[in-house]
Amino acid sequence: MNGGKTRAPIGAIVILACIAAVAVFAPWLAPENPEEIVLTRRLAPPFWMEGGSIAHALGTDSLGRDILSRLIFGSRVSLIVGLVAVAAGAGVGIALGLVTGYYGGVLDNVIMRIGDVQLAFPFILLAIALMAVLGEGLGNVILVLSIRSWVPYARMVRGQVLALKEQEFVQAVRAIGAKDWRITVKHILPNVAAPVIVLASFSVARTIIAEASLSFLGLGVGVSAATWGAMISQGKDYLTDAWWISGFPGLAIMITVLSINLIGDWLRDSLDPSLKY
Amino acid sequence: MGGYLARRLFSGALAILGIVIVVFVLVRMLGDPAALMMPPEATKEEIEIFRHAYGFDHPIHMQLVDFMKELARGDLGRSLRHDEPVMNMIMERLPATLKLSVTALVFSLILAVPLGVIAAIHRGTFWDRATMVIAMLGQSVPDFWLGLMLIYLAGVRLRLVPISGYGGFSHLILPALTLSVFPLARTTRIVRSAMLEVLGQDYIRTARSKGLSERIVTYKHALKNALIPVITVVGLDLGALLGGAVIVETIFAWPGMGRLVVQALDNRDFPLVQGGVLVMAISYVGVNILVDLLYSIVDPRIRCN
Repeated sequence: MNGGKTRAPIGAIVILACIAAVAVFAPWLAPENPEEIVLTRRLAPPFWMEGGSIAHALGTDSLGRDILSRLIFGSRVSLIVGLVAVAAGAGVGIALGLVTGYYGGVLDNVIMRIGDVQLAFPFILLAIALMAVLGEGLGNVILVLSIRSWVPYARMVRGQVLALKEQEFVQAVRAIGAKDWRITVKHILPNVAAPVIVLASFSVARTIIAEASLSFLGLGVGVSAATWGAMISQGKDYLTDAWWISGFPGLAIMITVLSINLIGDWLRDSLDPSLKY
Repeated sequence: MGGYLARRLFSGALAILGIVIVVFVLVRMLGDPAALMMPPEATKEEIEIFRHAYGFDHPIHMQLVDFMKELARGDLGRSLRHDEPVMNMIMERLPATLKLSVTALVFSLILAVPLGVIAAIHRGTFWDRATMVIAMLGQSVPDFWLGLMLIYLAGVRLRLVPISGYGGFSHLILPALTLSVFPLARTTRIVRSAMLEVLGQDYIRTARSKGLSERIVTYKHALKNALIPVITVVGLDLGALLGGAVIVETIFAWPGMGRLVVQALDNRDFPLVQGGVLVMAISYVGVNILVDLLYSIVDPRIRCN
């Protein structure tokens, strides 16, 4: 559709690589301990504003913690949750899609109906309820967010398998006696890889926003943890005096998600031109 | 057509039933409402009386059967906290949610259709790229953060509009704007991409070769057909907005369904959570079925498949 518009988004790739590097090397890059509370320097503005200093380049929050250091450490949570939750959800979804598409029958019906239920469930409410039951924590956030993401993979892979299994190359390997698992994993799976990669890139972006939303509501990794969503929440009562507490973490989320979306767009255009939107 | 509708209604009802069961079990895992509702000095007997009055002393499957029986009579039970019929509480909040969702969708459509069309007819130019970058930005910004920043800029700094609460149109502007950004961005991209596809069709070439003006070709022949896929996403957006505006409602203190259910979750108000989620699920499934029907009316090719 986008006729040859498959130039790689170099800027987005570089930015995302930098964010990943920041996450990996956070302890070495952060100027301060992100949890260090110093009440005498609370609500200090960023360096370019009156009263700001380069020692706290992006200012401090209501407890005097260094915003830049918290932003740097916050990148870890966003990226880990985004990647692990999507990998888990995609893994389960792909497996279920392969099985339901290949075998059909009752199992297919049941799993697809469960998917319907999930799609009709207002997700944020399900996540809030599940987090309230499970309690805070990184593992629980990842679990809850991966529960949401399997459905689209299962549906898409199932659709592809249904189309592929009647194709001649699959019939041919079956005729020479290949086992079912070998046919699905070795011959069908590689053919669904492109749309899966595209879908996964967009889900990482959405999952990062979902994690931030949960943290914002106080149902994330932990109330005092340095996550971007929690930082936005901590700043919301200080908007009038200290916009930077909420302002910077939101910008960080937006830049990260935008880079991932741009890369996703490019992957879609270059890997699978038949997918739109 | 009739068979298709029946199948859709059946699978929709099945999904709603599934949601009812999941919510029913999930809220009961949240903890004992008696512990929260009763004063700390309540005796064991008093707590037992409370539990018995609401049926919490029955096994969970019996509670579910009772709930279903009442549901079949259209009774959603009474709120534990407010001691009011759940149905009334929902009906009080529903108009606010509808008002917010519909306004947000109207905002998004008013901008998305012209932006998408402009990007498509000027494909590859600066305008196309600028529109697409802005649309991508709109899909990447967390709505709760955008809401806070709008409060700061438009409400606190510029004092243009009220920053929270419920009232006239001015109260609606910031929350509706915040909610409209994601659908706006997505719809713009879809309109552009559908327009590009339609503009490459033979009947457009025919229309042009008849000597029709580019304006008529674009708006009369192309846009009409390009809007068909838009129906689906708008439907999905409406369905999602009816249940998903939880965070934006919280930020702007908007008295809608989302906030009602989140507060009910906090209070362990089981009947209210169950009723609220049920209504949201019915709206979501209902809107989806309506969209499918509308789709087959607008595009007769779908009926044949």
